[in-house]
Amino acid sequence: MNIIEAQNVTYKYPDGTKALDDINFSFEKGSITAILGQNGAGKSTLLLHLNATLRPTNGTVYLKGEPLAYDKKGLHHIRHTVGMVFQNPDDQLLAPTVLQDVAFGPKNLKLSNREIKQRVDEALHLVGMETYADKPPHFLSGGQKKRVAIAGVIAMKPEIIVLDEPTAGLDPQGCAEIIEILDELNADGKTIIFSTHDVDLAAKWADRIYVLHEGKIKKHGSPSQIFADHKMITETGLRLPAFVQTFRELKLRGISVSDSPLTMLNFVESVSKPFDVLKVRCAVAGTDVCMGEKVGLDMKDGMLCTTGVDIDMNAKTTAFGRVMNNAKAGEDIVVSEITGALARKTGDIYIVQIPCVIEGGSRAVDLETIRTIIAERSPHKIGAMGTSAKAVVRKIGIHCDFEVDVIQSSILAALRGLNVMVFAAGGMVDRVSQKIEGYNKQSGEEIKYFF
Amino acid sequence: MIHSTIDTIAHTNRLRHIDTRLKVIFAITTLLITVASTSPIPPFLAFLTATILILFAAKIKPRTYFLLLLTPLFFGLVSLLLMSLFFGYADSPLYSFEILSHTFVVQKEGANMGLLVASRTLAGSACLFFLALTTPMTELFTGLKWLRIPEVVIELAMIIYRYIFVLLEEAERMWLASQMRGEGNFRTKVEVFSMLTSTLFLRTIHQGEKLFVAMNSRCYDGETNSLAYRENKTKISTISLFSILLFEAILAYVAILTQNTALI
Repeated sequence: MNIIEAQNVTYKYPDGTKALDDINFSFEKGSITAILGQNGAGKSTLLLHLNATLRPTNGTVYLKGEPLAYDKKGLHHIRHTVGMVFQNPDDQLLAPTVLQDVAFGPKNLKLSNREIKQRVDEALHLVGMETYADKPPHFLSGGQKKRVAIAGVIAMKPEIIVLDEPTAGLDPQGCAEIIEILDELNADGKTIIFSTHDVDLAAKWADRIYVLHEGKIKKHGSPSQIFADHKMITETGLRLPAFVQTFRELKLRGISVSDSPLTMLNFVESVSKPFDVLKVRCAVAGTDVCMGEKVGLDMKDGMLCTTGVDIDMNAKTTAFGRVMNNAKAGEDIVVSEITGALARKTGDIYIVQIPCVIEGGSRAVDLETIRTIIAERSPHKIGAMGTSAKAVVRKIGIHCDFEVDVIQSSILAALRGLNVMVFAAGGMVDRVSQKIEGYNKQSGEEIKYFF
Repeated sequence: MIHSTIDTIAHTNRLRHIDTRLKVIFAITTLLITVASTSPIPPFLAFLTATILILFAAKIKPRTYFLLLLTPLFFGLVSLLLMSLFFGYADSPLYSFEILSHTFVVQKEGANMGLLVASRTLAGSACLFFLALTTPMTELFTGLKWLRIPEVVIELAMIIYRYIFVLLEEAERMWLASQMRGEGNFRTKVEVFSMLTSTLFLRTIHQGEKLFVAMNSRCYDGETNSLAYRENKTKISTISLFSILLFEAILAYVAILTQNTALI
């Protein structure tokens, strides 16, 4: 179902320049959509139409099938349904304290003080800013301000969250945190629409992409459809995602043949060749080795390792090669003339569901049970998705290997034969299992997952 | 920047979590008694108390406090000097000296009046510094509401307070940018300053427009008291209130006792 639709929307500035020129778009409920375009393409103007801040000169915007009503009552309804996070948090944070700012929206909705308190607590907890409630915004860093701005919108419980350049000006970790918060909201059923000029972010994160150029929509579709059109990408002043570029170079050199990858996972998959194609590999010496020695090869702790000199037809060792240089145990070596094939052995992914913030969060979890689960499975790597899951991992005091890009990192680790345990908050569990299933189907791998 | 230091101290000092109303009562009442007193003794007592509270209870660095005190101290000393020279009757000379064959006479009444003004200045400043250094603005807004100041005024004050820092940052950035492109003589400096000020003014208007859009986006209708949400209404502890009132009573009593008594 399309939650927002626009037909033939044109917007002219008072001086007559067309910011948007006869565009159509539709956003599906529960999806993540990117509006991609260079500076001045009209992204912000488009977004401001979604919550009726701007009114189209021509054309109509529909919210849940109803044309937007621009009277007082209509505006209240639209802005309650469509939450808007602005690019610069300083434009948005107006209260002297974080707490009062997050309470601003709910207060405008005329909720009771009890309801406001509950929503503010929930929103601050979700963005991980509950300890900053009494601080004034000018004491916060850019990333923290952004999170408070998002909390201010979440507290109004909108169905759609619109973000103008959500990652602009943030450091990599700040970006990852924002994306994760939004992922959690999306798993909770919220529709997310964001504008960006970061092609890597759009490729990795969006379900659908609209490319906007000089007020017109050049193309829309899934990330792979968009980035397959190299000509359009160059024409609109964008560039291809780093993976796609690297991949093109490899493809031109005959190293890879499969479809254009969009994520690290696709990429690794497209260049991981079996031994009969690529006979030289780097490996870690399992024991001291000399040049010319023949060794067995096996995966150990997720790394390609030599298994000592004995080349008896050990039932386990199925691949062999010749060492190219002298090395002590633990050092990197090059192995050539590889024969045979590695026994394909993928790791398992254990998914542990943690209640999300609304269901009580980390407080509702029995830490002892979690400790027992970890001890039983003794996973190689641990990942956590979502605020409450991260809180649990912190409380137990174990090291968390994957905090960003958890699903992809876990699959990559499992492919190297490692067992991974992922703690996922609330609805994110389904997302993990769907992604793994999707991957298994696509690649023919057998990654098992348990709850 | 001195503004952000005071703001930071207000958020981190040891008396931060004392009920705002108590601090307001203490500062305002002491200030009023000080101003009403006709002898310099109560102001000196008030100054001493406020200073002790600032330095030992709130644990504020003496250096910061004395730097702040320099302005009122300078003002107090200047008024003491001028008043003792130019006020009073000619028949009560206290001391006289000659500069460039002109005789200056220090008059008794003048000296007394100068002392009173200087002590009031210092005591008044100390009271207000006590409030400024121990209470964040954000808490003062709660105090204002308690004093029945209209919600509209408080809300405006809150937004103004919030954007002081945004503008301050902007001004600092612009100033730095102008400095990096070379310094000039006095004339160009004045020109650059006027340019920065006008640009800053335009940006303020722009910022205001953006703020309005952002407020509307969160269902602002101009009718609700949108920033009125507060948490944790604390109760004033009877003992603290009682001790403050006791102190004020003693101070007022001293003020009455020392009515019209002069030091010199």
